[in-house]
Amino acid sequence: MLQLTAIEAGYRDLTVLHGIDLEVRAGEIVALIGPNGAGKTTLARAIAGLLPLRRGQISLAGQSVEHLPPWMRIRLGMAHAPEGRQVVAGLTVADNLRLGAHALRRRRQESWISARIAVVCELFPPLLERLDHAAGNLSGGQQQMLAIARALMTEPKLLVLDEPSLGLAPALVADIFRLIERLRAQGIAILLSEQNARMTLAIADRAYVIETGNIALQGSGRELLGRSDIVERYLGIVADSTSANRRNSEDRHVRFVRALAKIFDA
Amino acid sequence: MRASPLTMDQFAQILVGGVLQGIVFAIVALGISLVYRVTGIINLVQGGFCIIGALTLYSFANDFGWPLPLAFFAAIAATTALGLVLGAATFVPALPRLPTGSMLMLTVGLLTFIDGLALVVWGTQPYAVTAFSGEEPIDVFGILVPSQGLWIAAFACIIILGIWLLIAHTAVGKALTACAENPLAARFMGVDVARLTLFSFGLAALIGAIGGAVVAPIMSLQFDAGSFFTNAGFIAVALGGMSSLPGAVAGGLFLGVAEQLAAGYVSSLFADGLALALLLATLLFRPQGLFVSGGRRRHDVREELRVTRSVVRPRPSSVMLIASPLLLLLIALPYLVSGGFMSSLVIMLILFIAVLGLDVLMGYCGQVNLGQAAFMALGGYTAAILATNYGLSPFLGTLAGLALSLICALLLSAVTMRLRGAYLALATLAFGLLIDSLTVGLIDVTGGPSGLVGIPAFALGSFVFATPRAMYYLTLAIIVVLIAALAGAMRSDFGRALQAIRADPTAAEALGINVPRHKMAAFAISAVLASLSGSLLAFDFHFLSPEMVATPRSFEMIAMLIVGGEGTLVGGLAGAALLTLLPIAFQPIALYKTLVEGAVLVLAFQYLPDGIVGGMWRLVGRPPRTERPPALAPEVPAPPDQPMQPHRHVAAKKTLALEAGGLAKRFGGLQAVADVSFAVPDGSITALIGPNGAGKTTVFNLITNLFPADRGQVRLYGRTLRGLTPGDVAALGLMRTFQTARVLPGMTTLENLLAGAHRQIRHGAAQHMLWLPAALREERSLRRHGDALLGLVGLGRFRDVSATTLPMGAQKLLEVCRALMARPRLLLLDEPAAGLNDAETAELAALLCAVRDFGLTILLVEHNMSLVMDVADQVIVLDLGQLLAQGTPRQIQGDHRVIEAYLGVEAKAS
Repeated sequence: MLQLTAIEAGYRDLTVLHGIDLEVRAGEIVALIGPNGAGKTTLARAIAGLLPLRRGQISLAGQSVEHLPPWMRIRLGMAHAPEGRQVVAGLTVADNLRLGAHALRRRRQESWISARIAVVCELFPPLLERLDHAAGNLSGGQQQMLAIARALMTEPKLLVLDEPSLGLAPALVADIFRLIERLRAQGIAILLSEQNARMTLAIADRAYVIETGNIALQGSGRELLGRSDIVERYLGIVADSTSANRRNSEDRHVRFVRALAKIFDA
Repeated sequence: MRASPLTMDQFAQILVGGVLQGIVFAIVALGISLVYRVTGIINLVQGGFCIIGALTLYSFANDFGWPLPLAFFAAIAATTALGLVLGAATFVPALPRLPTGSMLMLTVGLLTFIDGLALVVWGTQPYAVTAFSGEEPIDVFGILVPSQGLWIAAFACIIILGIWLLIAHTAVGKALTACAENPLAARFMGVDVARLTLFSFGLAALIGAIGGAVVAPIMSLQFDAGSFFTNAGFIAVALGGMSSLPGAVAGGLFLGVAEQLAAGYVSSLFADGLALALLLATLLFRPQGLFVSGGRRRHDVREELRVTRSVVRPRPSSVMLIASPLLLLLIALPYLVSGGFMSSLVIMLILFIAVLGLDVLMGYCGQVNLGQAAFMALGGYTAAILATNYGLSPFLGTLAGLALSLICALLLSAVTMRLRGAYLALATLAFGLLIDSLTVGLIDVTGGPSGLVGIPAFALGSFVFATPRAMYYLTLAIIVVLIAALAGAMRSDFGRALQAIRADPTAAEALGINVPRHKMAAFAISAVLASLSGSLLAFDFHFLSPEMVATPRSFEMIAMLIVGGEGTLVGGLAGAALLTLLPIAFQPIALYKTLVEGAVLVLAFQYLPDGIVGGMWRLVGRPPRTERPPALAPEVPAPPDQPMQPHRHVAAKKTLALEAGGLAKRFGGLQAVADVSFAVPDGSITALIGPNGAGKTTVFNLITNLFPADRGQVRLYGRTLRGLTPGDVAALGLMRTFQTARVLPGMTTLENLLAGAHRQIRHGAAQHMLWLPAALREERSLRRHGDALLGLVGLGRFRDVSATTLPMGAQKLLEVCRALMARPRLLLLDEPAAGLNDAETAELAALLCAVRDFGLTILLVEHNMSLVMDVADQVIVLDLGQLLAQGTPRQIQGDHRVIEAYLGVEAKAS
């Protein structure tokens, strides 16, 4: 469904992505994990069309889209839930959802849009109860639901989710991830960009590890979950520390405290 | 002035006139409000479209001889086209890149450009357009209404109806609202934000053109009427409610009627003053507008658009290298140029003094001041009147002017200090316009439009500065002293505080910086320098007229500052030279001066944002860092030879750093926090965890008194915090960080760090202005400690780099270190690990443990369980606003209630 070839992109004089190759097929969840600043959000923006490519091709359902503006990519079946949710606080939940269908407004009647709102809200009952509320009054978790619901308004074939778990409590994250699996079952291709590597790799069919603008590793979710260096780097599981390691960190700690004392004290 | 009361007929007549004028104002206001709604910018160009619409109507109808309807539509089309071109070339591309203050000034530049264009094309003479339906007034219920009035009313109705339909009932209208609030979200949804912005800009131009063309027959058209329309329009919009379209209409009508009544019953001077007084009162007491009920204040997303301006800090050696020959050149200049040129040089230097003041206020402190010339007028007229009419010595007269300006500045900033951004700029504009009308209207005092003549030359004691050369050296000497003093102040903590206020007022406040006091200080400096400049101008010219120190001069000085380079102190000289000397050198282009000024101001924002001097410094300064810095690794610290003042707080594990008892807070229908009590032992790390919406950040905000609790107490080392401001709380030793690292843009890493030490500074701005050794010693010692701390946490190599270019992990570390510089006793960290990868989180954990063992107490809110389990001595769990559990990390991990409510099924393996 989505194919990225040799993508290079960045801002002004800073190149962030140095040649990314990536693929997402229909009905699969592809995880993109990596540290902060590796380029996940830059990649999401490049895919959406908000950022021009310096080099490379993007194809959606076999069609070349790297020269197309965002609204055309949406018409071709791409949808985004951006990092940080980005709901329009002053509009109601219903109007926010309508905004999601903005790119289709010429092709679809109001009745279709209203029906679509009902369908999408089935997945998110809390939104159904709050259609007339200002989006700014929703909690963080509800806003994340709104962001995903908004993305679903266009019946997308490809869904790009940029850090949906950011700032959410683990139980809520589990709910959202369960929903993502349901969407996969409907045949949507999903690119899930995340820092929460443990949960993401558990549901991903395939995964790419991105580091400083390059793909460092790729494989199936289970493969990567099993690799110990990934595990150490990204999953926060403390490896067995040898006594030398422990002594080192204690040593450093003492030096740290002493140095602080010298800076701030007599 | 009228002595007898008016008859009913006359009253009705005036009322009708007021309504008509009000309708015109409403049309202008509507255009301003529309653009504001969509972009968040007050578009001061609006009046310019009115005057172009009117003047092109004249040309098409009279010069080309076209029939009226054709001329009308052609005029509208031409003006709208001009608006679209200007919008596409300047406004729309600049919108995503510039902060609100700069955008406001960009529109000022566009207005100046249009005024200049009108001047070039149509000259200074007044024009008259014939009324559409003839000159015969129409009798409406016994009142004579000019026939044009009905046309005006008709078009106004069409415009209002059209706008209402568009905004409320179309998808485009909703998309416009989305663009206004969250352009990023809109873009993700496929909304073409740039095109919609241009659309609204063009629509505003269309509205303005119609308004101008339809009102043309009943007024005398002159090239600078654009400013008149704009002023009325923005006053109307402020009165009516900025983003409320019906409010704009109501505001316009109200203003028109009020002005006509005031002019009819008292005088037109009174009418002007009344309008401006109303504006100031509205901005202060009811900023949402007179006709808008309470209502939600527009979520100003633009406040959050913090421009990551990359920082240029030239090496002192480079500055000396350039400044010394320049100074020698300036000293030698009088012997190299002709006499005629000499007087222009003097004017350039005199204006530079006022621009210098503007740089402190705008360049460093970030407060847009559209009324700088008003203070020149105050200083100039006071000194001149006292010297000419009362024989006071010019020196004393100047001092009197300084005193008056200082008083006005302190008053004005005291009443406006609660205003943010655009409102403050409007207040200064209003003040400037008020002074304009006073200098023209108070003929007995100021000599009116013809000005004051016979002003003596400046004199100090018995020495009279009679020749241009003498004035040149006097002004040059003053400038050298001023720059030395200001340079000293700006590189000290005072300068950092001003820049912090420009960068992020909320973060500045959290650092303990007294934001209103610093703003007032900057405003005072700016006003005093402008006053000095005005006085010198009067004594140099031996003549002072209103137009020498009117609002266009304010705009000109802003252009000088921007083109020369904001925040560079000396940049203004380059700008003053460019805009003063060039028109003199090429006399024929004097007619184009206004046009060029406007163009220069607009282009500078887009292509030369650092200005001339800023750009030069970028060339000779340190090379900018473009590659991403690698992961952090702490370096071995080099301990400074002289430690900071001892402030060691002995950690006694038995005392309680913080006690919260029975805290409760309700927001509308939501009980955010209900009966929360906990204690934080001294010298420990306590973590506050809980599901999203549990009330953790609310508890934080209650502790720091960002808003008051409904019930409950907070004690910091036994001292109650009730009733204190966040700044007071910071002063008591409680420092907080924010969820999104509020690292100050436009400042280097070191400067960010040092800003944290604000409350520790003993030697103030005045001492730095005098370059006193004790003050310099304190600054040097502070820098050494800052460097040592940066080295300790591995940020040493980013010392001179713009702090906002650091990776997120580094920024969070910087924020914690900045809080440390304030020597707190208790650190409140709001999600310090959010957005960090695991290596960065480990570094943070190491720092937090070291800080705790050094003797501080830490309370942190976190979602990152591994960090919490790693560092916390005590964990407090909130759920739905209530305390759920409390204990050691191990206890919490095993508590079933906590696991159920919060950690979820996934936390089985940990």
